[in-house]
Amino acid sequence: MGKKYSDWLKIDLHIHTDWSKKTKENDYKGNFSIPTLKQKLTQNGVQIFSLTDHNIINIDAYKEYYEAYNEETDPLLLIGVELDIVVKSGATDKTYHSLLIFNNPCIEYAKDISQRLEDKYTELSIAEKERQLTIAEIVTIFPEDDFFFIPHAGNTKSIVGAHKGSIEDAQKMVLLMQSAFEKVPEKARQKYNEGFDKVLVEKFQNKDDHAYIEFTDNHNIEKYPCPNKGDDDRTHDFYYVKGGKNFETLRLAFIDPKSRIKSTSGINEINKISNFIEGIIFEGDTMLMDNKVSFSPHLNVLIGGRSSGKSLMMTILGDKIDSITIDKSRYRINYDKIKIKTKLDSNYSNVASLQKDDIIFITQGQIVKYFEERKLSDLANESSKSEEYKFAKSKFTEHKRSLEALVDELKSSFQSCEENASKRYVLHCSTIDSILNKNFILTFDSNPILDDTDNSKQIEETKKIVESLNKDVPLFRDSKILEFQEEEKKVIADFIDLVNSKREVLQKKEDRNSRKVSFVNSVTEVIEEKNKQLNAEAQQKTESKKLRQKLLSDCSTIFSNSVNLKSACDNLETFDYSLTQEVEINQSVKLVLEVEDLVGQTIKSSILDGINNCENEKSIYLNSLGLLSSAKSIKNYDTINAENLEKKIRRQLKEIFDKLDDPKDYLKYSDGETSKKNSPGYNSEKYLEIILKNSKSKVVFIDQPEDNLGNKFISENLVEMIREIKFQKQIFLVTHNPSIVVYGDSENVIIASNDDGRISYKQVVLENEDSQKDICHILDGGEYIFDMRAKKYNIRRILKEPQNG
Amino acid sequence: MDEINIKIEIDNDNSKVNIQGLPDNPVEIDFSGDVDFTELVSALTKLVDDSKKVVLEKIDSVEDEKLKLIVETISSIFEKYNEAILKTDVTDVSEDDDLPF
Repeated sequence: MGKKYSDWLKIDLHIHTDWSKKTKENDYKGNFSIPTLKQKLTQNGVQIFSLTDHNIINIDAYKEYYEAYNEETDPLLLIGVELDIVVKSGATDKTYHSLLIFNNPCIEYAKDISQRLEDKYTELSIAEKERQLTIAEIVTIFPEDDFFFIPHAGNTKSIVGAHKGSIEDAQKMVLLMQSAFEKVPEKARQKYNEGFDKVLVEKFQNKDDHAYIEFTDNHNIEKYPCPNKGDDDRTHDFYYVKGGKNFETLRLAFIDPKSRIKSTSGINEINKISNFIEGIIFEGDTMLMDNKVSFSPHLNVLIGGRSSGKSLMMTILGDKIDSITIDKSRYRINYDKIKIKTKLDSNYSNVASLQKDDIIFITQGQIVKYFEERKLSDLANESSKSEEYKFAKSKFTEHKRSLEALVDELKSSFQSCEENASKRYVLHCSTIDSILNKNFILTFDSNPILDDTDNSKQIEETKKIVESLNKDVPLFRDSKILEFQEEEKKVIADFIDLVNSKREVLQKKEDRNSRKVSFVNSVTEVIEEKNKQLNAEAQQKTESKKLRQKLLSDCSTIFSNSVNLKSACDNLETFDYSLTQEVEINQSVKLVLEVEDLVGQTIKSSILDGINNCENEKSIYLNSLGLLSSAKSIKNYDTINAENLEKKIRRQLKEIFDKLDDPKDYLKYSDGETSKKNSPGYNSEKYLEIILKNSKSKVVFIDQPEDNLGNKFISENLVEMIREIKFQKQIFLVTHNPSIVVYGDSENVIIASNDDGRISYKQVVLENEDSQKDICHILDGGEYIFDMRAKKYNIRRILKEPQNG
Repeated sequence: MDEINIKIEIDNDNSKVNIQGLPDNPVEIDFSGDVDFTELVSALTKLVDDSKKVVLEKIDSVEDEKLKLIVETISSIFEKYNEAILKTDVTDVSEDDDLPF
């Protein structure tokens, strides 16, 4: 039994029988027989074929084939003939060959066709081997018949050669007949397309949808599938059409060759899809009719009325794939009663295993929600990127803390400066005189010695480390979880010994350091005591020298504090509060978190805005010195102090802090565009375009992609995208849009219906005329779309006939 | 404990007190104006690491008041140094503390 969806069928509509010898001299080689034909076709997997002798129909062969025809297993034989068609062109007539392939495959009709043809030749008194007809005569023979016209258009007996000088007529004829060209080398097809475009109105140009197809033109069935009589070593590359074993399949193939005709290499290309969902079985659930639904590796669409079960099918598929997490609580069905199978699975089972990165699963309204409700964090969650999103967000919190730390640093350094700001730095004349008097004093400066020798601070820090090791290493050694081996225990024991020995070393160093410090301090006392033995003037000199030393020390402190304040101010002034973090949603889309520079608002300008009499051209530091000297003041504060300054700065920077708390998010697409400043509709379209074109995804599920998308986008972009990608990945769409179904050329149309709470799924294909009616019945505008598709070339305008003619 | 013998010589012509016997170069203390002991203390501080006691040779009596004060101060400084050196070793105390009883 054939597949329930449109599949690729090998086709050969140009096979001769030995009757061709009747009308053409020596035109067949070897013996022709139906059993050999059937065997050769079956061996080569051909599913649709035709016997097309020159200007004659081998009615015996047709009779024999149809009488034994098994619809299920045998290739379909369409009635055909290869006619010599004459074109009257001045003094010389030119002929070309064309296949005529007829609808209604049965022996009665074959006899009828044959008879009418023979009658015409008799009427025109044309000998068997001189048979030829004009197009006008053919039309009179088959006025109401449904047939395709497939002329040779290559080097010999070509319609192009025959119509040389009036090629436009040939082109129009082919277009009007909605047929195909045979024997056009692939390298010449682009040139042919350009020729067709010249006779088409602009709207129909550049579509690259003219049908070219190749058949064996076999004249020797014993050597089938050789071309002609098989006298050379040429082999035939079969062509495939998509659909079923019926005439309508050809009609759709010639209307939409891009989607429905493929050469062997084209088929090999699309067969590279390594895995896809093959089918699903419902069995024993009270809500779902028992059924087996099979899926095309290409485009599967789910259509149906409201609450018919379209989205249910998507939910079921989501549930059955191990890497998808889906809310299935909406439907009260027994999911265990449903089995699934992928191409790589040997049997149907409860769950199919597909890599998460291979799948795009979009529920109804999901995309537009991201943009309309600004819920890109949801997008991150649903893309399993919540951890990455949190991490990116934490970077903004860290950034804010860094800024806050700089404000604290400025407050602290301002406070230090503030304490010295009121001090006076004076050295009296009498003090200087006293220092310069001739009395001697004893002096000693302990500072350079202590700077050189006092290691108290380093010793204290090292002591903490050693003490910590002394406490923790035995705990480490005794850990049961780590399960130390004997050798490892020995290493630890050696290390403990090392720590203990270093403890002793440290103790000795501390002792020596303490002695040095003690010695130096005691010398200071000695000197002070000895100076007391000097006269009053000398003692005054000692005191004066201390005053000078104090002045120097105070100056050193104020300069040091000023350096710290400058550093804090500069750090704040140069802090770049802008920050961008990216979270990769998939290969094509990145979620960007961003705090941008506020236009015209820097940290400096914000802070200076909070200072009365500020000097904008000067740094924060210089303005701070203005505050310390009370030449400036803090706006709305009576007192200038570090605390008020900090409050003011925090208020001035509030907008920046708020932005760091809640960074702006948007999407960055792989083509460089972003979702910023674009409407939710535009972004939905863009997002959809990007994810559909993601080359890594292998299975795509989208529930109603048309939601919130513009009609223009659907008809001009979305449908084209679907057509482009459906041979690279398996697609499942729930849709109400006939354009997606028909122009998208769905391989598998699944009609969902709900009959009083019992849901069933029926599979139909576009090439089935009854199914087309079903589809039209469900989809608003479906009839119009089918009609438009069939009239793809705007034939009236080609013929320059009046529109209402 | 090792000892270092220190000798003090007074050079009145150049107003210098020379202190000899310290491991590095002899220390000179100028007494033409204010008298600074920083260099001497610095040299002695370095000796603390070796824990060497210093022994000052007896000095002939000095008449000049200034020089007398200087020699006394030098002598006091050496005493303070030796006191620092001879302080009980902290390590030993620490080890005693670690005794199980």
